Amino acid sequence: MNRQPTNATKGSILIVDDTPNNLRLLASMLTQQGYKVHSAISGAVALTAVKVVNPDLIVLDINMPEMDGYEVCDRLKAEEVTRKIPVLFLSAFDDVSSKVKAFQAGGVDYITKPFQVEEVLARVESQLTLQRMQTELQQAKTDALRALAQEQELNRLRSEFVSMISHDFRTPLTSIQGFAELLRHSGIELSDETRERYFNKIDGAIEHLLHLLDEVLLIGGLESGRVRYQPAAMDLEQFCCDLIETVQFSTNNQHQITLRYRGNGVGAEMDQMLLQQILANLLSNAVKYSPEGGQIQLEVECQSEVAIFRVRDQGIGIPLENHPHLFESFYRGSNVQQIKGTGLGLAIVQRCVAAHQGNIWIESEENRGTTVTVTLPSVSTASL
Amino acid sequence: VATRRVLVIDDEDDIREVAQASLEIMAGLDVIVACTSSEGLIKAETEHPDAILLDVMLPDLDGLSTFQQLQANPATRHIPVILLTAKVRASDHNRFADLGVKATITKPFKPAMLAKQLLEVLNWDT
Repeated sequence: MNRQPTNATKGSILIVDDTPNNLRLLASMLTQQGYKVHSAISGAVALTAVKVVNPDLIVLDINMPEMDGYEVCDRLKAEEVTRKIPVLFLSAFDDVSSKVKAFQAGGVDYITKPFQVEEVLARVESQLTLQRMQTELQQAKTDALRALAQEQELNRLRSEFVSMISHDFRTPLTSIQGFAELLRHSGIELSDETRERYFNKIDGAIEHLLHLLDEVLLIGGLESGRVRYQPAAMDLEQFCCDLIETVQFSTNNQHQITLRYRGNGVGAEMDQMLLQQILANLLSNAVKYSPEGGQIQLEVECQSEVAIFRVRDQGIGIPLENHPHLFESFYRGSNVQQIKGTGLGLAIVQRCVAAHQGNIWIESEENRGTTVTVTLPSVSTASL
Repeated sequence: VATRRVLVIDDEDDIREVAQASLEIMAGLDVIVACTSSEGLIKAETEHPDAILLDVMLPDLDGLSTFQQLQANPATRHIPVILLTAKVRASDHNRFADLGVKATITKPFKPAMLAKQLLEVLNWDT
């Protein structure tokens, strides 16, 4: 249990003494110094009170009837919730064995009666300072261990990321190297058709590499903060129309993408580059994982403070067991088979949505289709 | 002497095609292909290949688990397996060797080198 002295006071103290006059004197003295003071007239009362008031320090008399101070201290140290509360013994016994016994019971200090006010105050203050320092030290240790665990996890993820990049770059490089050498190899008689196909394979692998490189750089930029959210006023409806045209062109118009737009998006403030990444990735995923001629719908609803984007397809869908991993870099659904992809699209989308302080969720059923919903603030969140 | 047969298991179309062309044209081998682990395990048992070139990262079951299944099956246990991997660390290669794979070939590979390495590792004459 972390113990922090009460904010409004210098700390709270429980005084345990069977002599009412001693209790009054100590309480008055400590209260004047700004401590919050609780009193207990016996060991039994103290053991009950300690759990209620949870003091920062206990000043404990030794010579009490029924239960003496040593036994009270033993019992405090035996319980988890009270074990760490420092106990300062106060006693008329001035002999060494009494003092040793007090420290053996778990006391942190010992003052003999009759006491000097200044001495009691100095020792109380010293114990509370020590207690504070211990708490801070413990907190610092906990924070350091947490930071270390986070750093280790980050390093593991980085290392995994580099390993995945390495793998994903090697595959197209193998194609380029392999087909180039097959073309060059003097002993091989290749038909014109095969040669053409090998050249196309090389072109395709280079295009894939460049695309992969762009995506890796973008993810790196988003994660390091180099790529920042930069909102600007835009015409959202026009933006969506233009984007659909681009996606349809780049996918050879093999799918029909329709836009259903509601609301007034003129003046919506979003980061156009990030929004382009979000919608282009979602639409191209919808195209890629839908049968040729499949219907894809982009629904946009622009309200005064939020814009809702929904991309629906009737494609192959995503198996349920893949859902928890969809935003991981290089993760691909187990049913994608030979459909090409880098496994970075949704990871990029999620980071772009996060940069807008938006939300994303995916509903998908295998062989039925996928709907991705994204909500983004339609006003700038740059100053939040 | 019957032409030796190699089963190439890789989920990447291009890699399969490069490997197949390399081994057929440059080493004169008979090549059959599989694009998933499950297809590979069936072909390993039914097509009786003399060696298997196996990708480490497969979508349905990874290469090492596929290798272990091949080892567990008395019908395929004797077939030498050569791993194809993008992992380049020596520690990974040593780990693969400890598991009992015949050799590990790193991507990217040159077709002529692939054919040469495979023939050397298996002690096959061209």
